[in-house]
Amino acid sequence: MRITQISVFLSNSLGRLESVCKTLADAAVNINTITILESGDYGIVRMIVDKPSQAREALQAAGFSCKEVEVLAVEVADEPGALYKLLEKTKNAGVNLEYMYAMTKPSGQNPLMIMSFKDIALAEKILG
Amino acid sequence: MKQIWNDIHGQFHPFSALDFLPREKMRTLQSQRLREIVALSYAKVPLYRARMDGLGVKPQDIKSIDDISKLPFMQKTDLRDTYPDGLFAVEKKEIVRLHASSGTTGKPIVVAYTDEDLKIWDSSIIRCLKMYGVQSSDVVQNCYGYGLFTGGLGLHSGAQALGCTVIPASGGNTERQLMLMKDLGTTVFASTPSYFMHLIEEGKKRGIDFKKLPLRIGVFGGEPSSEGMRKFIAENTNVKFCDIYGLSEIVGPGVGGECEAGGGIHILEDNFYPEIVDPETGEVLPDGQEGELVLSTLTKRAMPILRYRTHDITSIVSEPCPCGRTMRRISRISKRSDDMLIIRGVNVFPSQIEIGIGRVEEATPNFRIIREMKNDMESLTVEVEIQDKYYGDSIAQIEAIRKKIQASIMNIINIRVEVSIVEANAIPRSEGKIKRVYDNRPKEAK
Ligand SMILES: [Zn+2]
Repeated sequence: MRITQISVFLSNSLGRLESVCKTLADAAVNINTITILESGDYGIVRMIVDKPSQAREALQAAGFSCKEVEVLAVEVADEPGALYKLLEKTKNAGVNLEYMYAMTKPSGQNPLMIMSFKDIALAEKILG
Repeated sequence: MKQIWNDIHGQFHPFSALDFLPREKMRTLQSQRLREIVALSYAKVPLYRARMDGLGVKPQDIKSIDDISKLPFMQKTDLRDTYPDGLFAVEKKEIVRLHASSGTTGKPIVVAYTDEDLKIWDSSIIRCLKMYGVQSSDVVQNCYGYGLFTGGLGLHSGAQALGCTVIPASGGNTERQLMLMKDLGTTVFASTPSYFMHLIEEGKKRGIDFKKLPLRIGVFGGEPSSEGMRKFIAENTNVKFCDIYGLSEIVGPGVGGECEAGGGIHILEDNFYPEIVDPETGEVLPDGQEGELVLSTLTKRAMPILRYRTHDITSIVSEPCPCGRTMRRISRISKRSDDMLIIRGVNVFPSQIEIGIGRVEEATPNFRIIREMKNDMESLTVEVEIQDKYYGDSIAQIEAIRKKIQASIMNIINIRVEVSIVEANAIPRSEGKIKRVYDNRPKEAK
């Protein structure tokens, strides 16, 4: 399933992430999952939220540099080899995975992996 | 008479006639004016008399404008040390206006004008405004600070004397500036270039497209302008970038201006005589060679300033200008001798770093330089904001931009500096003169 991720560029200084979270809280946006990639003096925050366009508007109005990015949310069975089988398919099709992180789901369901591909359309076809 | 001339939509005004004086006539006028101002200064100002006596120079030794090099230099400290009125050359009753610098420490510098001085100042500003193509029908929003600073009242008075509609907006209050600009139909905007850039950015956030406004001319001064600034303003507005040069010690804005040809700043040299000297030795350099600009007021009587060291680094262009004006030009000023940083033994000017950044298309002109000590070595970090569309989802892409900026700067200054990409709007925006260098070194290292 194709979903929208919010990516925010942040300087690595105290209180910036808190400020992102406050902006989203004030806009009544729920964060489903969040991951931070840091590189020295800055980082990129990636989030899956319940209302992506409201989240982007609120963050931009607060002066943050942020983007909506299309990613795939792929259900992966909670058993050995499940992720391997999936990645084998994309490898054989020559679709390169750029990054991936897990999204927590309520109990009783399979975990969701959030995956970024350059060729998202092709990846979506393969992973169905 | 003045009104009739003002209604002609040309670049000329009776005052502009002096812009086109044949060179020989200009030299005769300069020589005559120099003799008068030196005689006045020697007679009335103890500092000039003492300095000239010290060099063994008498007023009668000054015969032509070339003799100006016999006179002593003046430094900013001379203006401070003679606070408040030690350089005044006329009786108090002749003085009609005082201005003062906004120095952050100690006593300010006070400058004085007679009624005639103010008229000459107005005429100088009118000559500059006409170079830019400003008409009496223009609406001028003047954002230079009003008050003690020469910028606000100086430009106001000149623009009003030309017959323009002047909005004395002064600096600050972004919201109101944008409102005035939209509602009053501003066509000419006067401010520092960095403040105008700040308004463009603030306007964007509020959905104001500067290209749809009637704004057509920017009278920019108060700080050196860079290619990056010019490019940003050209991309986001229909405003023609017009440099106005001036400094309070000499008169205020209106010492010179950039004509249509855009090849430098014409100095109104019948009033303000320019020389270029070697900043180290003080030796006068020939036209074309880069050095420190030295200015002398040839007509200002309340407080004549002779051979003032401006610390602005430029060169005199004496080739004829395509616009037909005979006044010599100076190249655009991008360096100040007192801005120079010595990093690990290498001379670095903030403007060179700016040029390096300007060559990278992903970067914006918003940057600052941080000096600090790292492992007993002085290090320079350049913080840069990049264009919004490049704050992407990929660290690799941002790292590539960072390295590109680093290489571009190194290409110019030949030493390696740290480059750090920061969030949009992280660099403090100035409402006056932009602050580029932040010195975070401990006191003992400075
Ligand atoms: Zn010209």
